[in-house]
Amino acid sequence: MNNAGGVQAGDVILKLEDINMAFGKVQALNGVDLEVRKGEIHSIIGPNGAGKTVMMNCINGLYHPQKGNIYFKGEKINHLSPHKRAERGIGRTFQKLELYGGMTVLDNIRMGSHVHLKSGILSGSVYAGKTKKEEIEDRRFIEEEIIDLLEIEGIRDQVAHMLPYGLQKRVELGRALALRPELILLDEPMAGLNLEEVEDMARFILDINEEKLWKVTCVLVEHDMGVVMDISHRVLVLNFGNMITDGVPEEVGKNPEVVKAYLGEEDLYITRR
Amino acid sequence: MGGENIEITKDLTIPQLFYRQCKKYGSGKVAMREKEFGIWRPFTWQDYLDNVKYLCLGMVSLGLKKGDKVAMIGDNRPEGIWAEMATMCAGAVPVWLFQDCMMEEVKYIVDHSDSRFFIGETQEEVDKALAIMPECPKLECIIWDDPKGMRRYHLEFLMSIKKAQELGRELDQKEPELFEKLINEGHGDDICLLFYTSGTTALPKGALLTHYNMLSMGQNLMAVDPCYDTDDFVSYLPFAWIGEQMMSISCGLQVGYTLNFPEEPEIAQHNIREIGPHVMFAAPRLYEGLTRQVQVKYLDSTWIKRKAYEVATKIGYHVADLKFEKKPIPWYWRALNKFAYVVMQKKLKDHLGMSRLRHCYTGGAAMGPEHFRFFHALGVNLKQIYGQTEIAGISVTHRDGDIKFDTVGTPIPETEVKITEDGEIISKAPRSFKVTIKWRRKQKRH
Repeated sequence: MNNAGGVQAGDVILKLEDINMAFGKVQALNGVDLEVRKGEIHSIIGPNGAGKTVMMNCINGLYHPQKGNIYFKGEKINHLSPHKRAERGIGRTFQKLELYGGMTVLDNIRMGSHVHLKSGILSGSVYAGKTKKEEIEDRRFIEEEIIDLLEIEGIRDQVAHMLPYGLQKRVELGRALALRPELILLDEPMAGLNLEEVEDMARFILDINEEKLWKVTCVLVEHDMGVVMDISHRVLVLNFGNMITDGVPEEVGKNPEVVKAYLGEEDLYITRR
Repeated sequence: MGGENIEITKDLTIPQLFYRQCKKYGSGKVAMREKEFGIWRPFTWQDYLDNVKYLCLGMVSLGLKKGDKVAMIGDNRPEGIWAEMATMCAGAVPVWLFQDCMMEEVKYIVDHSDSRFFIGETQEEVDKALAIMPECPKLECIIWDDPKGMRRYHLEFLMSIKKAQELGRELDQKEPELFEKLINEGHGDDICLLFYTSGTTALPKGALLTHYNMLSMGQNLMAVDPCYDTDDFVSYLPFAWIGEQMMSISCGLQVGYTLNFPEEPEIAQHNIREIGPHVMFAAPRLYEGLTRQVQVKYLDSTWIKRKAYEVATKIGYHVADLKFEKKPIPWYWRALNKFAYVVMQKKLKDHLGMSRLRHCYTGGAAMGPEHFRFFHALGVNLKQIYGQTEIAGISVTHRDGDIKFDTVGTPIPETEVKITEDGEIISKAPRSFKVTIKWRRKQKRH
């Protein structure tokens, strides 16, 4: 959301070069390249086992690829651990929810903004002075910009694992946003949601991508073709670790190889459109 | 009662009373609160006046004229009340729609009422208005409140409340006397609100109510159950329902009590507890929900708590039954009831947000006697009321200490109720509605 590092809209913010990742003899990613420009929603699609989540994990630092380079805002981040990458502005959500189940929604979201808090253990134990100011500012940001945006006012004090799945997905997005990321990795944010929830989630993604305050670049892994084709600026197609194509949604939708490998029947492609 | 010195005459209008109250209380008293971003934000009577004034003038500069209809839709928020009051101040007539109205209903009401303006809370309402616009040629201007998702809407006839208020400020600088002039032009017999009835027999009919109808309603209700300007009221039922208008406008404005708006409708109950209102009016479903909630939580609680609850409710029920039968309560039962209060009732009432409750009404549907007994056993003064839109609110209510739960009570002052030979209930009061919009004419034609 900030312009630190001097990356302007349209510049490449994330670059993956020749990424190779293998688990034993399984080649999950085979020389994949990706360029994500600032301000884009760049989707990654592909059949199950295509390597989409592996790619997310490589960007985010959970996996370290055997070969290839990852650059974020021009800086090589291969060697950085996930929390260091988070500090640099890469946020993410998970396909399978990874919330702190026993904590409240508010605490989960506050956890996301933890990297920005400067108070130490000692000053944090006394709610006064700078710490107090910092806490209030942090809370203001969470309330006014995240909870209000995601419309979760009604559940802020509820324990996360007691919530319905659709709401938990929203809380995950909220936690990722609390990091105030420049780049957000969304791993199947619509999976398991009903139509209304999908519409809401698509609206939130567009909001964080377009609103002046956020302007977050999104990398979106998603199976819902209707959503992908509607909201993405560019789409990358993977199949068994190989890159099939990378282009604007209209072109990708027409690519015969893509239709064969992933979209399959015409009917499948038009689901929910 | 805060409204004792206010004489309701046919010359008084709601905007005139509003202006008087704003001048009386000024910045020294909170007129309304809204929970937003997790905190209660207060608005003084001066803030209320300023917001209404500029919105009113803004709409006037956009072409709103006396007698025009303004359709409104949205959750209970201060902006909703401001929009309603601003419309009335301009001599126009607000028409509230229920928040969950489907497109067809919105279209029917906007078209049937000849609305020229539409005020919607969020993008959702604006979308509804934009969709019906081609079929409602009289609709000219759409005003919205919440900017979320509105960044791509650039239409000339579409603007935010804030933008409209800016226009109002400009007009105010040019014509500083205009707002007061508009207010003083009104007469108590003018139409102030248009309500669409539920339409159980046919399509919804629009009942036109005058300023005098609304204000005399409030006065007569408070003659039975006085309220004070130090009271709190939580406004969370739809503005399109006469019951809410009766409490927020008819009574609220006369007495000057504080209106509180919850953060979201889903957590209204939680917010009610934070406010602890003195007056409450809700449909039976809410009270039934509360009863159920208590019963479920009772089963989940620890042994000692369950025992305390059992003993206290036994005492409570016995005392409540004595009251229902209008029998004297012996001193030892009074003492036991005090004990029950300390042991259980006080805490439970606090959890339900009913600690400070003086008058608590249920209306709109029938409620089971068991629920009545439950609340009275807790020491909550729950009373039944009966009324309809056409009589500007209610005609009959229970009196304190005279509650038969299979009745709805006795008529409030200036009200006559009769049962015809056919078994139909007919009511007569000075606040009976003026006319049904576009209905008589059609009936004559038939």
